[in-house]
Amino acid sequence: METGYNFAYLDEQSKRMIRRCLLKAVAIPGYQVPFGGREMPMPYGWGTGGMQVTAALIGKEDYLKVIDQGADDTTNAVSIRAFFENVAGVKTTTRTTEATLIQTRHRIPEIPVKAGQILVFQVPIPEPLRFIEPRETETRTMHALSEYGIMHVKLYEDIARYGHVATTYAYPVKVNGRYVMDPSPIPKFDNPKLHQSPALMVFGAGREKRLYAIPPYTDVESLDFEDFPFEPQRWEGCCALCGATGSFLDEIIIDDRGRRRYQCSDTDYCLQQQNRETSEKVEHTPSQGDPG
Amino acid sequence: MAFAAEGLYQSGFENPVEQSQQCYRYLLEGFSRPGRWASLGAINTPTSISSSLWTILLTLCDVETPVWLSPAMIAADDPERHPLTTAIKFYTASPIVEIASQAQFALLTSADADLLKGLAIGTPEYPDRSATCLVDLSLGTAANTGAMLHLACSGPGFADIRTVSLPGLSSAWLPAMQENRQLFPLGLDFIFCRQEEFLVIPRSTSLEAVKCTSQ
Repeated sequence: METGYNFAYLDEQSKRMIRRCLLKAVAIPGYQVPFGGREMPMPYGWGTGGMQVTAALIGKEDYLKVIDQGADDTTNAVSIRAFFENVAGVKTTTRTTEATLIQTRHRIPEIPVKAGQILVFQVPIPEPLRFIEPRETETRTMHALSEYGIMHVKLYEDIARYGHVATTYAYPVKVNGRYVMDPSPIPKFDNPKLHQSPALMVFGAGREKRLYAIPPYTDVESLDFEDFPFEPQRWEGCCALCGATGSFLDEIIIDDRGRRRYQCSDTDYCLQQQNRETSEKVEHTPSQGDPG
Repeated sequence: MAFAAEGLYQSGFENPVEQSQQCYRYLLEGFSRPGRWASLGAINTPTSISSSLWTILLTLCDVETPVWLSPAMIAADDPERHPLTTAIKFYTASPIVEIASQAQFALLTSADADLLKGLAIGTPEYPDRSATCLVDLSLGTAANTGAMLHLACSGPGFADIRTVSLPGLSSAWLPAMQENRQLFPLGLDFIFCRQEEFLVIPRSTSLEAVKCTSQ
């Protein structure tokens, strides 16, 4: 563990400021609370918002898991995990079931999260209305007045142009029947996991300096139309490594003739599935020799 | 000064970094799953306030958070010891404000239901610019009368409707808190404190009166 830093890098006053903002975020589900974002020792866009939230939450008893697009072994995940090992000396894990704090970039783990776990999302652009209305003063008023019709117009334009809602990630949701919220660029496959989740979900945007949250057991509804109901992605194939059919699959091009295969994006889930398969095989071997 | 010094100078965290982190996780859990009593453990308090309230003050308050004390809270000061305002300034450096609407944290007793109207509820654009009420249930006129408020709570954080009992609260709190719920997303968040325990009712919680028979 590095010395010369306060526990978990941030100074105590910064942590207190983030902590106070987080309580407001939980009390007003889906509302973006402005906070005094601090400089972190890495560039914006690499999860500075999520890291500040994690730094404000983490304690010596925590098990930290960090995933990047579902994977524990990609650059972003590895370096953030190493960062907190260095500055907080906390235990880290890749197992979803073991973790108490899960910082995530753009995925929710396949294994359902439990009560008591906290998910910390890294958010690039927290404002769901930003691509429609670039002025902060305007979007703030729109949230104040619950003026969200334009969000449905955007989804309708998709239907008019493509015949279906073409938004596949950062799919807008309405939280607790009040605020329209960007669930960060998770695939819309993960949107149903936000609804009535037993775990607290916290979102941190470092560059935009906004925090928001979904408390446990909160209604989260993906925006849709009666005749075009919300539908998560589905795949024809299964995972080439573990055979899972119900997980979010990454498409991998394997040659220059356009052949492709699919693979779980959640590496921990995929590994558990593979291990289970192997152990089942081992268990079955002696029984084959049994008479009768 | 004539006051005994030990009361004031022995009321801080022994290990501020760890203890405030631990207390905060309980608080966050309290906001996430409201309506449950949780214990923050024992700590020396500078005055007769509940130790959970003092722990929360040490955890959340600093030079950026104006604190306001209700007259009943000030009246509850022990004449033998330092006033609570002195202790708050000494430990957190929080400015003590005279005007209730300027407070980010309002310290109230169980007798202060009618003072909620004077506190900041935020603005439609910034509903987060509102006060958090720290209510000490063991202080105030209703504290030892055996009064008990039973509430059926539901909303974000509640898997099912949950009945919450708040000892020391008069029935005057129910309409005040229901009006507060009507303001959502504006409004006040409540942290009720009793000795080492606390319980959170955020603005998002819907409240109904529960008629209690016997017991």
